[in-house]
Amino acid sequence: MKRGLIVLLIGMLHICAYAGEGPWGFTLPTLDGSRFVDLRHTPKPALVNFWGVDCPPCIHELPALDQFAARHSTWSVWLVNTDAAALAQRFIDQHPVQSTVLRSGMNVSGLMRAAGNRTGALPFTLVIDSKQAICFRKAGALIALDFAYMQQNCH
Amino acid sequence: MSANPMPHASTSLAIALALLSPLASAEESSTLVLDPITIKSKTNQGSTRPGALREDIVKTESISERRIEQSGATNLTEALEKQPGIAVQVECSICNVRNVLLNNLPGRYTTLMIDGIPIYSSVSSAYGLDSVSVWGIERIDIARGAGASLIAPEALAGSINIVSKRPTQDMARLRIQGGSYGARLYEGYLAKNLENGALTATFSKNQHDTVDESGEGVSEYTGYDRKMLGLGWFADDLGGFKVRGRLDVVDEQRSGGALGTHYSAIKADQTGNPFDFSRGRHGSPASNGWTVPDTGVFQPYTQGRAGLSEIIFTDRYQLVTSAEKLLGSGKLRLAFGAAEHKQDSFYEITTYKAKQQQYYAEASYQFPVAEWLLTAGLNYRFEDLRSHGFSAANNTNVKGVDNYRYRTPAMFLQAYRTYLDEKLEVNGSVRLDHHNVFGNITSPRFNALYHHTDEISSRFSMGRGFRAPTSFFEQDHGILDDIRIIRMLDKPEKSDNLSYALSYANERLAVTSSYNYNRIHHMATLTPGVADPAGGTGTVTLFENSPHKVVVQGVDINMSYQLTPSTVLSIGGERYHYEFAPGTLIFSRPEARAFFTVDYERGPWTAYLRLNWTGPHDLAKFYDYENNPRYNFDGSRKRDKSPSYSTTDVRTEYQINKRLALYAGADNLFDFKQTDYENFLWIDGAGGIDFTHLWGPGRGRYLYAGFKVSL
Repeated sequence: MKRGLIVLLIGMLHICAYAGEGPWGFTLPTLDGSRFVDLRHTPKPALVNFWGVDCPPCIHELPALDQFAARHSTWSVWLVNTDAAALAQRFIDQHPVQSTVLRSGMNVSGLMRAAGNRTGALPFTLVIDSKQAICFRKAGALIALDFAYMQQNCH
Repeated sequence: MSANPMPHASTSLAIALALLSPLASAEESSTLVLDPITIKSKTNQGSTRPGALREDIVKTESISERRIEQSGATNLTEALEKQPGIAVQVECSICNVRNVLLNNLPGRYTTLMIDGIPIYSSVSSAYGLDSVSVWGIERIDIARGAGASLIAPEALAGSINIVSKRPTQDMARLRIQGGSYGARLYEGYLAKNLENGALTATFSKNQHDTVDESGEGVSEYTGYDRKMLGLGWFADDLGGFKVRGRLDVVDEQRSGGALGTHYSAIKADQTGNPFDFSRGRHGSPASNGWTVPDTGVFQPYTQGRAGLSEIIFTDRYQLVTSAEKLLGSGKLRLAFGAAEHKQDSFYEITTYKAKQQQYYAEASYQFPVAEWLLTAGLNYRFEDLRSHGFSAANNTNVKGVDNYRYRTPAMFLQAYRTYLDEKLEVNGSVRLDHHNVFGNITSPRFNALYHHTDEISSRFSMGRGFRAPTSFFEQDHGILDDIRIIRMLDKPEKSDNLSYALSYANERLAVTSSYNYNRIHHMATLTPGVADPAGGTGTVTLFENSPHKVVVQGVDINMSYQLTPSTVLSIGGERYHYEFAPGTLIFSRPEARAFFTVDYERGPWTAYLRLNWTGPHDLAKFYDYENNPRYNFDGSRKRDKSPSYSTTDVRTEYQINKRLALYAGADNLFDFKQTDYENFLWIDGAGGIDFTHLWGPGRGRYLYAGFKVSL
């Protein structure tokens, strides 16, 4: 038992030492499981939208996000789903989108918290500009003014 | 940062309260009416990794709908087993009564809730959990530790909450599965969305043959035929209330011991010897009996199939419903639960019939005061058991040996707030229960969550819970042979718990480790077969508080790594230490367990592999060999320690199209069985036979295949 506690404490120290700060980003698998996407190496501006299949406002705005992606070829648009991959895939089969859907990874709530969304509210959208900075973020459904704001302020 | 500010209030508390409003909007300046924000991702449950944590202040492990589906589980107990800190223990090789253990404490200390409503007792958990279908649920939350739930103080080991899924689209799903040992499963789920709500219907029929792997004719895996029908309702706005509820009807028959399903014939067969006790490991030299270890005299078996058979019929109705409404600056919650549980059982000629009724009512209000979020509430629990039967040992009818009626009104208060720019969350609570037998009981609890970074967090909890003991016979079947129980206990069982958990998670690696300390005071013990102190001819059971403390402490760890875009590897392990006196912990537990899991999901394919390693059980200590040595039929002693062993489970699924998926799998692929090493049956020094020598699987390789249709 003592040995177990020591291992736990050593683990704590190692883990704390491993923690680091840096620009917000992620490396997440695509929904189809074919590759990883490293946000740091994708075209900017990059729009990242967190959504879930049981979140009505999320589902409602997916077509608008898809349209935005189609009209702005210099942007990259990533739809991070917060459900299990199979559930998301089942949804996408029935409601296809053109943008790339990503799996949630191991710590989607921490990822959102790091971007300022402390409660994990969905939908959550943010834009990373060419300086790797967050130039827009919003918890809740997007409206036309938001898209206008992004285009005006994110480059 | 040049970002426009997050449109939220300055604290999580304020956000949480703001989001209570159905019209809460993220856009402060907008004149449009927007959809509400959905708080959903306060969890990493989208990950299928073992031990995935919710973001609650109390360390809450969450098993997602997908995880359950991937593991091939068909009921609640199968969904929960084989995870660090959580175990399903079979307590009888013939009736296969199973309990869910948290932190390796006895199963009666685990409280099961449905949508936050505690509606299972130790009586109904024993045979009820196996009939809880896993279709139509969103997730299962497990909170380990005494008083982990504000409304379930009797959860000395922790609580399990089954959360119903509120459907968002019309759906019809059907699953049909067949497997080894005559296993058949038929399950259906219907969901219909209405303008302001939804309705669901679930049904399942699950059957399995009785299995005898050792060959002497007495089963190690109990056959069953379970039927369940469930109806669910969800109303988004019913007079301002958001309502959810469900009604479940369960009908189960199970039979173990002699093989076959002709129950009347088995019950009537009470003479002669239909078994072959020379079969299996350390079998008797003779097929029709065994030698008494203390005297060396041969003892023939003469009680027919009935003498080693247990047949249990269970009928259960349960209803839970809750309603929440915004009221003033806070939220009002009302909850109600009711259950009727009937058991008609045959235990080796002795019979036992019981009817239990349970009711639960709760009213609570959550509201902000300055920087605090307070929850104050009242609840009332009613639990009543009435039984009668026939004692074969005393050859007499008995009535009400384990009757009890508990009425427990209670009040509770919880306070929550954050410090250090929300890095530190604390929550303190206290309950006062007024028990009709044990009087006033206070249960305090303190929890803290500290976010070292967005990836690292610590959780600390300490608290106390209590449980009013019930003399239900599943703790010791010997009660059934006695004419009455003498209640000598005057205190409730109490548990002190302290736990610390450290979690780290980034996108590809997640690690959670925890330490748990649990100390049980006044553990209730049953001593059956005692001469009646009143001078009667029959024997009685003594129901007492143990003067000895029981301490169980352990460490566990779960680690998952996203190896490739489609593959996640997980390893987990636990190490536990037990301090107890004979007669307190009466079912053996391993010192250590470890798990290795591979999850694969790509395109239409999903696959799952799980290796489960179980360390040795200290059988001599748990089964108290010093005072009660155990023997095999050939007169040799039972093992002091069980061997460590491994089992492997695999499953794969292929989605043919949007509507149809095929799957196949194997549990215990390499066919490890306890009976290859040691029989579940044992005899004591005086030649008495029993079947509670349990440390390994009773069933060997189980193959299954099926298909799912979604419309």
